[in-house]
Amino acid sequence: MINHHLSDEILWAYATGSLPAGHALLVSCHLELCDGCKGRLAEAEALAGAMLQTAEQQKPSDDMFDLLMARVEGEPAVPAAAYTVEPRAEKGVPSALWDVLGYGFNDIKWKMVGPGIRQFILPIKPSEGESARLLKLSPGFVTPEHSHHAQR
Amino acid sequence: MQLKSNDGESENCLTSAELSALLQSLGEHRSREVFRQLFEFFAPRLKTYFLKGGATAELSEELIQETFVIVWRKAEMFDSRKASASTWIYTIARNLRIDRFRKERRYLYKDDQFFANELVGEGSQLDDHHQSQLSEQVEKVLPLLPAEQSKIIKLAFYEDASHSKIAQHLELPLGTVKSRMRLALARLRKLLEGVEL
Repeated sequence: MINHHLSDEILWAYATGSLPAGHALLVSCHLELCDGCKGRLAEAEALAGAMLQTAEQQKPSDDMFDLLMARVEGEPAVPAAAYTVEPRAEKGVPSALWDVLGYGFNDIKWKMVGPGIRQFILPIKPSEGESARLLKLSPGFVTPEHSHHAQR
Repeated sequence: MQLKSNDGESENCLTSAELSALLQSLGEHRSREVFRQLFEFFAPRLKTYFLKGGATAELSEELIQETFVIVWRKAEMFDSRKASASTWIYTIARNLRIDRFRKERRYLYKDDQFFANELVGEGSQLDDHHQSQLSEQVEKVLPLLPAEQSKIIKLAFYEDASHSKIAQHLELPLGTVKSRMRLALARLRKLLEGVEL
């Protein structure tokens, strides 16, 4: 059902954390469902890592490493098994969207906005000048779409 | 304040392969000395990253510390086949910055998701060879981009400026910013394919 992929400039914005919140949610949902774009995100993050590695240097305080050591020494290691993602609560609902809704598509309280179109305003705090909503287009299948009006 | 390689000992250059080996070793042995080497390499670079992102000197140092607390705790999860040490540490620093400054986005950039999903998934199209040399290549290739293009790439990286913020800042139409960024990334990809070390 996905016939649309993320552009390079959107992936770069997502990788650098500079995409507005609602748009970032849409991208996150897409990434969960699209391995191709996930691979391209890994490339964008690798580029960002390379930029960090080659960034200019500014000296931190002299005592910082000792302070840091004092903080972590004696901490037990965290076993790798502690980092598994919880199973998705409902099939077909991207986990980032689930985090926002707390329930699946069936429980959404849609509002009619036009013939065959219902919408649901997402309960997230959007970035400035942005709003994020789900649209349900009838008939038949549910097509979750977020509209994101770029600030002009 | 800028650190210069004036006295020989502070040159602070390690290759990507060396950095990844250090991080892997930290995960296995938790050696203070290895941790110090990673700290000495990355802390001055992270400082630039956080300062340019708008943090005060004090907050930058706090964020550097927090980054390394996570590095210490999670080093065991690092897998050099999935990401370079720089990418891994970048992701931690980025998430901390979002957590601090962009609270409305924090739930999308969670470390546990990154560690579980991204590093365990096989989705990356980067092969090992390409990945291990990427930083060295980027260093060569980034200066080859036209200034107007590299500026846009860097504004997103350092200041997490959105497309529309960049447009305001540079007094350009939003469409121009997006197309310039797209061109820059395409150009970068092409240059990276062609570069030999």
